[in-house]
Amino acid sequence: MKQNVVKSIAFAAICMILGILIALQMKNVNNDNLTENNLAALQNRLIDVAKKNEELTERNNSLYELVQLLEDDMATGNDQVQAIIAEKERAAIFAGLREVRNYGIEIQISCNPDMKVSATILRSFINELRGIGAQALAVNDERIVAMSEIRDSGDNIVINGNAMIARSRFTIKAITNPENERYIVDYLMDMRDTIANSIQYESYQYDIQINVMPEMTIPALSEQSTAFKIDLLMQN
Amino acid sequence: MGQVLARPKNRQRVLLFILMLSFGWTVMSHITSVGVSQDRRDLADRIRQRQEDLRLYEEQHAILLRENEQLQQKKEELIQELLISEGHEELLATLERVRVLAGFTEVSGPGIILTLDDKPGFKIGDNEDSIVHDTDLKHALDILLGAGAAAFSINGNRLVNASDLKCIGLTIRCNQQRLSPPYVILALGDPIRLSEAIEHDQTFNFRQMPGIDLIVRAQKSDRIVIPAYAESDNIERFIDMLEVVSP
Repeated sequence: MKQNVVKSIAFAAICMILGILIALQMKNVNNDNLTENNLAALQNRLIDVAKKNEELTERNNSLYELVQLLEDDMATGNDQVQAIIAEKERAAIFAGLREVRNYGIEIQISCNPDMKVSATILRSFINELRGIGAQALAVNDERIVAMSEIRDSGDNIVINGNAMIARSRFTIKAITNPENERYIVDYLMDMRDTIANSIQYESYQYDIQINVMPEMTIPALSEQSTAFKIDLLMQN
Repeated sequence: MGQVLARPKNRQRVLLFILMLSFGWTVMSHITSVGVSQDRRDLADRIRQRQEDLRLYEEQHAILLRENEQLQQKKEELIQELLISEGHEELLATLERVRVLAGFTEVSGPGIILTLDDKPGFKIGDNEDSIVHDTDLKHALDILLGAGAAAFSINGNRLVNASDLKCIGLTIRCNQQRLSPPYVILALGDPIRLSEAIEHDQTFNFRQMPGIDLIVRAQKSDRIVIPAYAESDNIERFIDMLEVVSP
């Protein structure tokens, strides 16, 4: 009888140890699925969020200072109004409502006189210039903003509601960072070569010239432009 | 053999033998893996630590975002109060209009909700046309602009002058955010014109054909709400090279 009890206890103990060992083994198996790549991805994400937090903290501090200035009874009304005007001006520059100038890149595009320049080509350059950090853009001195439309329409290309003859030379202007000049010019040259070598555009015989301009002026876009559908935007 | 197993004592011995065998095997396997997996355990500990750090950082990010929203709201209220009390109603109206044109305010009205999504069950090796690329989003925006859209957002991100869409692996970056499918574009404008422009587009019709199965769904709405650009207080880096010629 006593022997049976000892046997049962031993049996239970072995089963328990076996269970624990299997569990530990399972844990190791799970660890096997983890790789250095997981860690690297996590670290990248961590750096990304840390950077965003740092930036947001700075933004909140600046906002807090502005709120304090606006709340400050001691500040003269003039200081506060000047701060608001400065804020309005920044928004206007960002929106494309101010004529601006600086160093930039000019791209001239023309094609075989029997063909018409395609709006797709203009849009491609505009998209890529945006992607490489252009701060202001214009096509044939028509300011391009987020809601600008560039489309083919018969013999014309319509930009912000204005028709331009598609068989003419188009000039894109972009104010970009001079520090990135080499990268930007090489990038645009690659793009030009891709278009020149493309079967799709073979018959167009595009002539695309890329020039660095020490100074250029990009006009403002009027609030009445079709790119700004103010009635729709302010309906509520 | 049947008779042997039938005896309880022998059956116990066989069971005990099997149990001891698996016990021995597990112990050996564990001892072996303890040595081999020391590095893996360190890696797992480091990953767990980073996950915990990330959780804390993301919590902090959410708090900072809330704080930013509150400060922005407070700033706008104070500006309005101040300009009205000082008799600068005209400046207030100009400021409001400029902010609307810059995309710094929420806008609402009739429009469409356009959903672009990868083919259900897409796997590597399938037709590349079955997934949404940055060029598809740009194409959709061009079509909608042509149909008179006044404002856009993609997955909650307002499209403004500083916005750029770029493929990064299987995601698309917009306003410094990585977006993944489905891509939901809100477009403010005439819902009928906007949805017809999408429905009649040859490229999207081709991409929806059986075998490619890209998802393109335009839903008309009487009221959509397009959020304000989330970084309207952080635009300096988008305008720092622009010298104003005429205010």
